[in-house]
Amino acid sequence: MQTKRILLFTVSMVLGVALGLAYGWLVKPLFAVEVTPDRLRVDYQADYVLMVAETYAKDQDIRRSAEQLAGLGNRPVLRYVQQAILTATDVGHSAHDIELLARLSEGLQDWLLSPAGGAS
Amino acid sequence: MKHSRGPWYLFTGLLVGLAMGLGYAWFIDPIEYSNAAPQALRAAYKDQYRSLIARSYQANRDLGRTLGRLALLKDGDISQALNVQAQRILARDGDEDEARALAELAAALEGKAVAALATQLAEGSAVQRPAAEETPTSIPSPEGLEEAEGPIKTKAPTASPQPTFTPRATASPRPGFAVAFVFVGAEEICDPELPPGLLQVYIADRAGEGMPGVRLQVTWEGGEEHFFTGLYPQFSPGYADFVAAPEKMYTLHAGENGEPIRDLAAPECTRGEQTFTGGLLLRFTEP
Repeated sequence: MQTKRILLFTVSMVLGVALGLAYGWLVKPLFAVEVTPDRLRVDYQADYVLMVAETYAKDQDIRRSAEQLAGLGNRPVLRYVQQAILTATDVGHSAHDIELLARLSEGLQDWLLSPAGGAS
Repeated sequence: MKHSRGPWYLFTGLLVGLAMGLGYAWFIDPIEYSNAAPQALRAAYKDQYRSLIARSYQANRDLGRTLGRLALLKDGDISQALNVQAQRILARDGDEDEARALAELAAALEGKAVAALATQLAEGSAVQRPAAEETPTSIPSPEGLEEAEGPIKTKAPTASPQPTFTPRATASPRPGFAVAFVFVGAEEICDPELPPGLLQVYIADRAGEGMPGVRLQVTWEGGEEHFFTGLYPQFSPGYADFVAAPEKMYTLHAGENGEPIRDLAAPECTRGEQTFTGGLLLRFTEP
């Protein structure tokens, strides 16, 4: 009798865990509503980088562009631009957009190799 | 003596399990979304995204593309979200250029600034045209190469073709930078429903349309503050306001080189038995 009670208690607890996980992960995930830019879909990330590239094409401020790209996450900023070029090519962005991204990539490489960029 | 304890232990087990499951799902291993859309970004990152959209709009002047990007944030009222963010930036003495970009975009979305920009373009002002219109792309698309005749063969494939006209970028300054706005006049506003000491400023261009993005500086003994037109496009793209403290004298500059309007003070108004602090309406125009 005692064994049966322990078994039933365990089964009910396992059922509770399953229900709790289902509620916490599927019905009402706690941290799901707020995400950081590195969780954006790759094409949104590519568009983010494209906006930086458009701004850079106008102001030629590579330091600010690097700061804006750093807002995407913790990876090296040049990696985001390279990934954006690949994504933009895949999803069919115009040659003009891809050229803007390429110019941003060149600007970043030059800046990173310079004492100012390398030091920061 | 034997007594039944009923099925309560099952309920207890269920509750304990539920607590353990929720604790694990919410705190130990919460869901981390990938492939998220910009609308799901945390508020601070949404602001960052919105600022970037506004700055890129300053560069590309492509309202269609900009609207598409703004729509991804799912703001209820896009213009208001831009204006509120611009005001927050100014309130904390943040980046003026960023606030101006947001305000200009908000004004452009209202539609009125688009016409003003078109006028300035026609006059050869410094306002940037969309890059695609101004300069051809340096790497022609495959379709472009197929469709192009004659002239394309004479161009080196990797050379950036130069524009065939001379840009007149410095012929006419951007609003709010070096324009010496002319003071038209001041008018006392005695409306008890308005905030006491409200200084309302209205900047108009030569055509009489409101000009957004004009920097205004107000100084008083021991302090100064600046603000921009265009933050309240529901009134006018050229409207801005500032709440003055009673019994203080202010000096206002419209634009970078505008003449200083000195000794501005909130008037005392009387309506029947009631006495209250009124406001001023100051009008400026582009010379």
